[in-house]
Amino acid sequence: MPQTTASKIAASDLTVVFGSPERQVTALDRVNLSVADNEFVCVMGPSGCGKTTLLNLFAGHLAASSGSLTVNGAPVAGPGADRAVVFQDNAVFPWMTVEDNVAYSLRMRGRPNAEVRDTVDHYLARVGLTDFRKAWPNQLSGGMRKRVEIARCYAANPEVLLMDEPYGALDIMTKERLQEELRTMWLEQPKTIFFITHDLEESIFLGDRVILMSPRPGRIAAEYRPQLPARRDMSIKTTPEFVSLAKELREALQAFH
Amino acid sequence: MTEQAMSTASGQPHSKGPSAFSEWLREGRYLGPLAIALYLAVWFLITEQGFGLVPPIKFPSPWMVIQAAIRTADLIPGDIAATLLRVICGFVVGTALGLGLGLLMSYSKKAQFFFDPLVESMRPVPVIAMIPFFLMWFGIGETGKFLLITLGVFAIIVVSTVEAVRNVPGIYMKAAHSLGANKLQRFRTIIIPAIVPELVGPLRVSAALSFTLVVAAEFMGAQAGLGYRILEARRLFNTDVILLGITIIGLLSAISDTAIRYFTAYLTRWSGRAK
Repeated sequence: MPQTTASKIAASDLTVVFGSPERQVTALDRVNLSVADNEFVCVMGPSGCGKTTLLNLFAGHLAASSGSLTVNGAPVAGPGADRAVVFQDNAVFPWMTVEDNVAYSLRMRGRPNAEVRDTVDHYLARVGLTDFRKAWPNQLSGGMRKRVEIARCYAANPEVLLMDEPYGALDIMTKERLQEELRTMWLEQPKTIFFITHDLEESIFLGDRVILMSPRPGRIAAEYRPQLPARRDMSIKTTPEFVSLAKELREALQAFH
Repeated sequence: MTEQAMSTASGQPHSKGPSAFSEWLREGRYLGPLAIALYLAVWFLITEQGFGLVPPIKFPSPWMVIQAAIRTADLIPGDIAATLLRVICGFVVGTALGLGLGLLMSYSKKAQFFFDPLVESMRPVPVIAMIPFFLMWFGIGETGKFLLITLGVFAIIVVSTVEAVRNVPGIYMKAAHSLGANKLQRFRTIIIPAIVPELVGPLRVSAALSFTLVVAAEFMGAQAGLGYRILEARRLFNTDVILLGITIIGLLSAISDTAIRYFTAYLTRWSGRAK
């Protein structure tokens, strides 16, 4: 398992209030959270629990009402290349070929062509899309487009990967394969991953730590550390550890209703 | 990987060989040529050489138009050249200026606040209403005609550009931002390619408008051009030449529209939109 050291991203007493002064909605209520370097954390919760709000805060797409938010100990001020975001909706640029999508961040930073080519080759091979490098994203399936996005984010070499229900729109078979691929990729090339999902099995399978959030107002309700082997495939879903944790999480979720 | 049954963009099977003709029949592609043949047949039947239902002076027959073309063969090529040159210059410059200002207004809020009232108050005024001024300022030379077309095209393209930028999905901008692209880079790599499909319609509309405006401009006075030829023919009641002029303008407009469609289909080949 990758080394986990200092806290990479952290939130303390984070509160976010939406709406007009007369009709306020508290999306997040005094959230305290710390993710260690190279840790794989899943945030799980029903819709309306503010988990996507939390991700948007770390991404820099949203500002907090109060509380502090840090990446590497420095306050978050807008989006940055140190934090790549994988969205639920398709964010692969349709007017660029697969390889141009993967090369995007390197080109924007003016890296030399040889480096761009090597990096693109590496990550396309890593996600199994070498044969599709010249294809337009429109010609790919939803699962393949997600692979392009993962490759594009990894090629940017961010310190943190923020993933916002990235596999939410995929069928179960594709979803499980992508989960295995992501877990393997993370083991081989560790990064801090902050993964939002409403799928409890996904959160247990992927995360070294699962943070459960409760809805309205969004609060951290519980934390779990799945005692599962580092290298995982779908067969662990039938192990007693997995099954009992899934049961525990399901009961905790049902308690919110 | 098994989920590679895909390819919706190039999804239309291009059947070659023995089935191509039956495909052509089944899809109904013959309907276009058929419609043109029917239109020509009706034209032939109701005029002079057919049943002669309309007097030739009011509506010349196809044969008369062909004869007019032969008769004026030394003038028409020059007219076509003059008209096309005006249309192309006005269309290209108007498009460039409209795109330029539209992008500037989308890039900078201050530019938008400054130019929006000007553009919005100018836009509803038909450019044709400016013709008396243009005649006063520029006479019957090329400048006024060029500016008339430029202005008409510009008004359409500038608004379409601003609207198209507004329609670019925010997720692409967020993704580019998080991948480290600065504002200018996001504009160049996201906004500009993303608006092209939305500009296809406005480009076709303004190309057609260019032909309308060039004829209006040439009516006001010119040395050559299809609009000028039509006006001259009217003076002498040469209705066959009028109809010849109209037919040529229609053909030129159709050809330029096809050219724009092919060009933009190439630019948007990534989008999988129907040609």
